[in-house]
Amino acid sequence: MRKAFLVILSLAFCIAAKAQSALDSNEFRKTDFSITYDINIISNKKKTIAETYNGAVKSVFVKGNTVKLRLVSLMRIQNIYYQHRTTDTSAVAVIVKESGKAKYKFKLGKSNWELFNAKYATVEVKLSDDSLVVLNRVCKKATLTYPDGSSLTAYYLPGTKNEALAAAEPMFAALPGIVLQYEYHQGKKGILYTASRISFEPLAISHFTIPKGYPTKKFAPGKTFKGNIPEDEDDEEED
Amino acid sequence: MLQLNTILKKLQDHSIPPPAQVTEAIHSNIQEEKAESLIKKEFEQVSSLKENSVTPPAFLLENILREGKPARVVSFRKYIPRIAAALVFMAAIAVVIRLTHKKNAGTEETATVPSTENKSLATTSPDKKDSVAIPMILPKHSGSLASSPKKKNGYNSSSKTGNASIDGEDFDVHDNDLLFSFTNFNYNQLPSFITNESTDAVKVNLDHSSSITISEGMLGMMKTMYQQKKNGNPTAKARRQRKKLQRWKDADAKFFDKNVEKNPMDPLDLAEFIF
Repeated sequence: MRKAFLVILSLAFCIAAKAQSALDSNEFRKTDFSITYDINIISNKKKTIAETYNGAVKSVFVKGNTVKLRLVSLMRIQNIYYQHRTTDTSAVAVIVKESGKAKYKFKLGKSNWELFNAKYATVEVKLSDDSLVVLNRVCKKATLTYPDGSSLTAYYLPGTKNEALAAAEPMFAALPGIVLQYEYHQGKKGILYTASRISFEPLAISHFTIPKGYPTKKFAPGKTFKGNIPEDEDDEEED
Repeated sequence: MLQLNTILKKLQDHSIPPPAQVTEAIHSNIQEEKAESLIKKEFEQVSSLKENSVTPPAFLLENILREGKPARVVSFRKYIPRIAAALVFMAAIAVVIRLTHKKNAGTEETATVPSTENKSLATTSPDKKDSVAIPMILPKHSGSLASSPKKKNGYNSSSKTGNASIDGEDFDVHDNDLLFSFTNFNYNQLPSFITNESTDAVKVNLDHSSSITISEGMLGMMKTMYQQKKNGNPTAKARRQRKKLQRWKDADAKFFDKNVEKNPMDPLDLAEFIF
């Protein structure tokens, strides 16, 4: 009798988990959603420049093929507006620095976007059966190793891959699901990103409107400028 | 002989005094002869002492030899380049001190925030109807600051881009720059999260979708930065802390704003910068 009860309970749990997973994957694929990640700096030293990013927040907002990545920290507020397109256009991504006196934006076409994320072009993925519960969701562990030798540990929700988000965050493009926690370590120090909120509330289109009035800088990869980065003279702001 | 005496006696009456010059010459000759004989006599006496010579102690000889070194000739011209260099150095220090003083004064002048404009920090931020206006919390010795004519706002009201709140207290955010906004509170309107003794991390609400945390370490640094002396001026430690934060801000701009490939959202790039 007791065994039967346990079996029934296990079955019920599995069905509920499957149902939740199916619902999650559907929602992540078809509706608007946003995920907020808390950024925690792992370090023994508490009076370093790292503290200016400790406690910061990174958010992803997805609406169809449009993605907005947003970083809010004491030091800076920066957004990436990404439009998932298959053809090369003048700007699939716009990077906007919205804080400080020197606000600016970069417009990146497909080729420049690939250059911007070149270090994630090839990645070695090692999927693991280890799991972690984040926001009541069971995530699977994956280890990502990039060509330069750096390695990320990520916990993703299996079966929830979103093409637009994967293209907007190429570092996780090889994973079969949306990442809810990831960490990068350099010796004893590290940065931990943990999802603290998932929302499926509809997102207004205005949320993805690129702010106007900021000078457009010229994207010149491989160059480090001593002074201000020159403005892109070819750029004309759209109405 | 008797005859001679008689002659001389007779001649006595016909004596003629010799010329004065002759008398003087004779007198001086006599004197010289006397002096010479005296010197000769003394010389003979001293010469006799030669036989009684005594060897002086060795230390006397050493002292004589040491003191007998030629005196060092000091030329003023030799020191002219050094003196010039010292003067230039002192002038440079004076300029640096003056500039630093001006810079500090400029930073302090940004303390007052009189803005009344109310733009939103985020593009979709709702109006905060349940927010509470920041109470006037006077820190120790802040009275003199409140009336100080030097404390004027260094940025205009148009730089205000939104609000942030901590535990119900609202703060103006300027240029969307949270670090700048939180490090430029008016000294006589410091919020409670700075003035209270708690060192726990605090949550900053920006809008309905964004809230960040000021870590314990960062909060400690902010509190240090607002330390004041009895006369209301910031302490030396506070000034150092403010400069350090400014250096960090400059370093951040240099790393992420001058190099287009660096992305602060990327953990690898961020780690490269902060570690």
